[in-house]
Amino acid sequence: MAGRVGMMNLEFQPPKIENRNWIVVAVVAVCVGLLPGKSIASHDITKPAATCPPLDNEKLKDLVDHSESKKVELVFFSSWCSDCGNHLKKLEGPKKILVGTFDKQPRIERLVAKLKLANRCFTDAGIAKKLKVTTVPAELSVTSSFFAE
Amino acid sequence: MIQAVVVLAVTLAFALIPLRGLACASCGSGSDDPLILWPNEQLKTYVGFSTSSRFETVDPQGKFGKESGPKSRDALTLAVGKALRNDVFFTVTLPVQQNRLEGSSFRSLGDPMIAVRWSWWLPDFTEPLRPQLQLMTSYKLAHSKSLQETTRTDLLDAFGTGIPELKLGVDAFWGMSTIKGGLALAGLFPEERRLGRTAVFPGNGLRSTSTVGYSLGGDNKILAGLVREMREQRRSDGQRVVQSEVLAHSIFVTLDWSPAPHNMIRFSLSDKGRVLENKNMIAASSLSLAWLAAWE
Repeated sequence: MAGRVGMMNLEFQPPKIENRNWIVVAVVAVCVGLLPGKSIASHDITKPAATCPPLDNEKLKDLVDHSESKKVELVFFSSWCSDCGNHLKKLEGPKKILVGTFDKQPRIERLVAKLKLANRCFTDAGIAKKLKVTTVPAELSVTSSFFAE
Repeated sequence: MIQAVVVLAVTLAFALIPLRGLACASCGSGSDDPLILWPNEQLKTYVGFSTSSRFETVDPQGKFGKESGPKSRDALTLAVGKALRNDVFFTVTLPVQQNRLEGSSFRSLGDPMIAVRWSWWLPDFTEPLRPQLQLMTSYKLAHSKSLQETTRTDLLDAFGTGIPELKLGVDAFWGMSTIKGGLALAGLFPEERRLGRTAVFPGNGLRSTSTVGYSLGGDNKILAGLVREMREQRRSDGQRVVQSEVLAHSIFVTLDWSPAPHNMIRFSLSDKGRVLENKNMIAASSLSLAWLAAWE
């Protein structure tokens, strides 16, 4: 091991990075990162079987108004949250509504299809912030009084 | 003779960078970036205290020399991170350091750093083999004095390399299972700078960090890892300095404990230069304790 390391040629030949160049590199890196919706995470090769449309205030009110008890139970989750997986697998029955948050709609739909969950699912469109959901998984009940505030 | 002094001086300058809390390499912490934001975090802070000691020089043949420089170095590291969107964030890190030697001590602001990370791939709990993949870039400014600029014979006022450096790399982490693993690779590109009468270029480098971890439930976990850093020969006034390649290995173990949502206490132990082969560096041992908090 020592001999092999001692014989390694550690010559690098990249150009010297001067002050202005590092700014260019950093700006390029940030710009690439800021390209909207271009990460692999948002690309799906197969069409998902689940559909999780956006859930905004209006849609949530509609869900509450049309529920028998005038109350809906929401389960917030993210595909990158390992605890969310265990939480979703333990759901009993299709009563609770799944809301994917801090995530992209295609990933949420693919995940719900994989888990073969019968629950209705949505993609968060501002509801998590209104309900002050900052960690996942999270379960909340929403009644009509929420819209009266 | 002069070349040997320059080599040793620049080696010491690089090696006296304090070991920051070498938290897990790529779980969301990064060995050089103390602060990583998850997609649901908008603003996060890091307050860490570390202490390093047992400094020993390691020569080009890998032999240990006598202790030199400070007896210990303490650092208070402050960092803040802000999300630009849920898959891009930047962090600013600022260390405040203190060197101690017998009855003397000297305090200074260290080298600030700004970093940007883009989560190109997010993990998926239905695909445990799918890693989180982040592209990372950072720039470390040279604010603190280097050995070439020190005004003290005990070197207590030398805290940095004196040379700005750009880092570009990729960080992969498999964190969806109970057993976790990570691998980070980063290219290190310092700038040439005139220190005293000499134009010094420390040499480009490559740093790899390998991590393995175990979940203790929730956000709690324990991780261990190995950091390997290689640098090419240094240049002094454009001339390569013979036998100046750097090779440094360090090991670390980190415990993450989340006592409350959005809060984490991180404890790390690390040892540099005493495992595997090392040359032209300074060995040291460190421990750190940090508090991380997400505010939005």
